[in-house]
Amino acid sequence: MSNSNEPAEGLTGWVSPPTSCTKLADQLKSAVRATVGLTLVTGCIFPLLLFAIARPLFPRQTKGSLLMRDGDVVGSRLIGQAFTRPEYFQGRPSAAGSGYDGTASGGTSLGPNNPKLIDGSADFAGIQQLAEEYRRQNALPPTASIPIDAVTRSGSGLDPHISPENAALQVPRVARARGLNEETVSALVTEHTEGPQLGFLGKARVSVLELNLALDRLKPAAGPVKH
Amino acid sequence: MHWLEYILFVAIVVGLASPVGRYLANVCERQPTFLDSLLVPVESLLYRLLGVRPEEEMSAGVYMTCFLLFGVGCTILLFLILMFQRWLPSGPADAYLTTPMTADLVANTAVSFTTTTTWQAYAGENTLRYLAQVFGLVAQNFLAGAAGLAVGFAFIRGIGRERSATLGNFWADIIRSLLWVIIPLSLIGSILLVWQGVPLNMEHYTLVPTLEGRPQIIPQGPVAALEFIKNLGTNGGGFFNANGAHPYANPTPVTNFIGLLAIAILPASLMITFGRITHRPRAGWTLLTVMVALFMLGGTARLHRNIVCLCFLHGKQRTDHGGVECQQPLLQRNNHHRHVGRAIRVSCVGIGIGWTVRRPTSPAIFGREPAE
Repeated sequence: MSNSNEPAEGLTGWVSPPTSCTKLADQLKSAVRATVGLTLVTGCIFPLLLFAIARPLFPRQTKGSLLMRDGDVVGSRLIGQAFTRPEYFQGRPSAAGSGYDGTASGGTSLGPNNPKLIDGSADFAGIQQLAEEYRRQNALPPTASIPIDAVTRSGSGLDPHISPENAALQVPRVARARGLNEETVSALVTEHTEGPQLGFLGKARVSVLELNLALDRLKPAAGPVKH
Repeated sequence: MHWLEYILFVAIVVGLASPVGRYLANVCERQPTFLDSLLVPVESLLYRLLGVRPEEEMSAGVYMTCFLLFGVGCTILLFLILMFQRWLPSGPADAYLTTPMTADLVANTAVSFTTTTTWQAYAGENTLRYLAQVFGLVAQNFLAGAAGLAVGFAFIRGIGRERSATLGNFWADIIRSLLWVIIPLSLIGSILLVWQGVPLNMEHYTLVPTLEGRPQIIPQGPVAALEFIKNLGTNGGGFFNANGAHPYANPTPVTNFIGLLAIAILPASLMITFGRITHRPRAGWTLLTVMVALFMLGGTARLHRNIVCLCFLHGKQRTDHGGVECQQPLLQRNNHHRHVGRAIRVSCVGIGIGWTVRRPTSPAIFGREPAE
């Protein structure tokens, strides 16, 4: 085997690293500069570049997809609201704060076989209780099947959508409370149902807030609505 | 329907692995790429500003020292930013910052984000200023991810190079990773997220009266700046408490799919990069095949577990209460994608180690070449 060059103690044929590179002080200096410099590149220049490109392209989305009515903001297309009155479609139960609290997003973190999720506790409504309430509100027989999204809380507590099945079960109640016929309300639900994206991504869903806004446009809710 | 999503996901990852892997190999080996005319001037400028001599090769020890020094530097900087974030300008208003950023929480967050552990042990919407999220956390999501990619390059070179005591230059590797790979991909990905509805602003929180007249506070912020690099760097700490389950962080099935791709694409492509740099292309494909097989096993097992859990729930509901319909999508909107990413990384590292241990032919990592 060729023992052509340095170093002597048996590192046959290896190229040794340049000595200047091994100086710790040099690397320490580089580390300090890189930390500050690259933080500026990724924490300042990147966000500024993103703002400069994305804001003119998508002005509505960058501002949070807010929904307007008579010049006032009434919510966001992407953030659910709490609805309790019978003339509005109701979203999923929520674990965010006292319900749809935008400053406290979060789910229950209860696993599907956790007894608390199903049976509830003193200050937590379980699926059984939520299902009973849902059936009572919508005048369903006690054995009626209910879509899972009607009795479970979303991961954020802010999900704006429900399933079309859930909306369909609420149609008779909303129609009765507003004095509309069920076909009109059903047609409105269909109009506000989005299919899976690109035909196969995700599931069909109904945007509750947008549907309720459309209902109000069609026929304002009975009784006073404070603003 | 969800099987279709799953199969399409695997098909895209495998389809992109080869072109992206070859591109990564060019970035790693300083070969020409289509972005050179744009990025080489920026690269030289950064080398000059940071005092880096990219041609200087480092031994494994020096490379590791630089990696550690950089990590320590980033941790200290992030610690200071988070510690004094209350004094930063920008929203949200003080009234919404209800959780104090205590020294122990800051230390935990700083160490965690600079090591891609990214344990988000706080609720962003009631804890952090926008500028702390962007200047502190977004930057670390980039830098920790890029440092990981640099070490990946060095690891591959260590196996690929024969008769060499050096692994490359850490500073050049991290700068090239950022400029050629992570920043361009993040720019494209973040713009796609904004298109789908992820907010990007520095506005104050929006106070609205709901349709029923109750007040609701809607958080705002530069969410899109964080959410894509969170996945691409396989980091994990989100802008809001609910992280990937928040409709502002992950508004549509398309953003969910983009997030999943962002987690998987670089680890999968690095297998092909490995094959090219070590001049064993078939080894790269073997590693990728094993990764995909393990991933599909995991995905199937997860689907199966869902079925088991939901059968239980379904059964219980049926006996107790007349039945609640249970369905859950395979790729659903929640934090599971983080575990998928972690599983990919763990399996990738595991297979890599197993494979190299079986064939200990690399002096740069495994010591001297046996005497002949």
